[in-house]
Amino acid sequence: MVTDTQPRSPGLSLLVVDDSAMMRAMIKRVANLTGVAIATVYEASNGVEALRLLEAHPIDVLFTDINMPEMTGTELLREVEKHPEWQRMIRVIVSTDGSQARREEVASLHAHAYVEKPFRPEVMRDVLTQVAPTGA
Amino acid sequence: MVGIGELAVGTQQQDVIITHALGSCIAVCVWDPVAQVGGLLHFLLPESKINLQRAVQQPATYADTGVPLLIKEALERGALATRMQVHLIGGAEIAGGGGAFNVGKRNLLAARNLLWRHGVLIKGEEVGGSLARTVHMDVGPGRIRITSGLDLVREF
Amino acid sequence: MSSPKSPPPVPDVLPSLEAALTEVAEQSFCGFVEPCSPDRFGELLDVARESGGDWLRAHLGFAGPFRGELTVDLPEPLAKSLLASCLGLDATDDSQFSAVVVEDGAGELANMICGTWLTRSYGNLRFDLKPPRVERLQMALTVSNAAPAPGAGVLLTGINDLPVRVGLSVQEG
Repeated sequence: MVTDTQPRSPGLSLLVVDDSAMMRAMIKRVANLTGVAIATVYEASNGVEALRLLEAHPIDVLFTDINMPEMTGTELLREVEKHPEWQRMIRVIVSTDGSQARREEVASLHAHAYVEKPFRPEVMRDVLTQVAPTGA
Repeated sequence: MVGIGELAVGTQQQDVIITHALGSCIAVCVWDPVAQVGGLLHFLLPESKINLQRAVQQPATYADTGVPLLIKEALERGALATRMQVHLIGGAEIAGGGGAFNVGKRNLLAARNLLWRHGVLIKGEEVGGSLARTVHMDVGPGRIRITSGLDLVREF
Repeated sequence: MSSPKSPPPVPDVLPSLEAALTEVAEQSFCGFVEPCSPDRFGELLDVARESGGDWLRAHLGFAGPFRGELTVDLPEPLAKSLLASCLGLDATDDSQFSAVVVEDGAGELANMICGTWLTRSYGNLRFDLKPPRVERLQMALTVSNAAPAPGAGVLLTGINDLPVRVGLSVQEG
């Protein structure tokens, strides 16, 4: 278990998980333009990489796609559920899959918001400003 | 008063910027409440490459030369991109006007693209449809009133 | 597990596929979409030929109550400018985009079109999307007048006045 001994720079730490580098870059860019204080934006291309980053760094907000190789977003969120120390992390799903079936599947996985692709930058701004913990 | 292919920026509490006859054109309104800077661009077409000479003489004609200029003028007067509140008005499809070319939609997409490129997010839009709109912007309070004929269509 | 469902006749779903493509192009890429007749598509092909360059083909499979594959063919210069728009970058500096990055963008475009179409048209069913693969086509794209094979169809559109061809094939799950 990693303990966080360094003082954290002010602002939120984000983790963006998507197998598309373009989508990760776009979300990262919006996050830095919203006026919400952002310390670091980490990136992962699938659930396995995401878990490694979650174990290494305290993360305030997780953005994850669903359909990804190696480990899907749903599987990632199930893994997150098993860690009590990660339960305060905000979890946002970002996916083209807005089907009723998928939403029901993830309903039990404590997602705070569900962003359907395609989305305009303003939509991501609205979600981040709504879910971002105040006073961070 | 801002005509087609023109822009204006104001910094005084009592400044008012007005533009008429927004059909397929787009009005881009920016307002920084802290710096008290307000600006309005009324552009006609999306891309300047069709007439580079005109783009030099009258950059506000096109989205790709007008939007950066509007932002630059606002920044020079103390506005900040992250504080700017931006509204888009217009982009209507006027029957018999643009026809199959869909200028209104193209202008709207171009405005959104240019603003995103310059790191400016949009607060609100009153766009599309088939109304010809007039915009009245009070710089001090940053209030935007949008009318069509005698009717108040929207207020931001 | 969703029960098998007969795949739809592809000509019937091309309008909804086009609507999904339009939504994706506009929302994520600020792209202007123009539905094309074969003649109009031919005109756009001529424009693309003048600029030269490769074409990219992005394809991905989907599986659920029925299965299928979607392909999106587009000229590389368009893939670059759409990528630039998505990222808020200026497309005129061509050299900033490596082939890998452009192909990733084309793949995500296809992924979003497929996913959006399935969500809008079959939102009560569950589908899994495979990761997109992207290849380069050196051959010239032509407009075919041949009738499509059963279970397959083609959508011709323009995005930002350049040609984009979408192929869809479906089969039993």
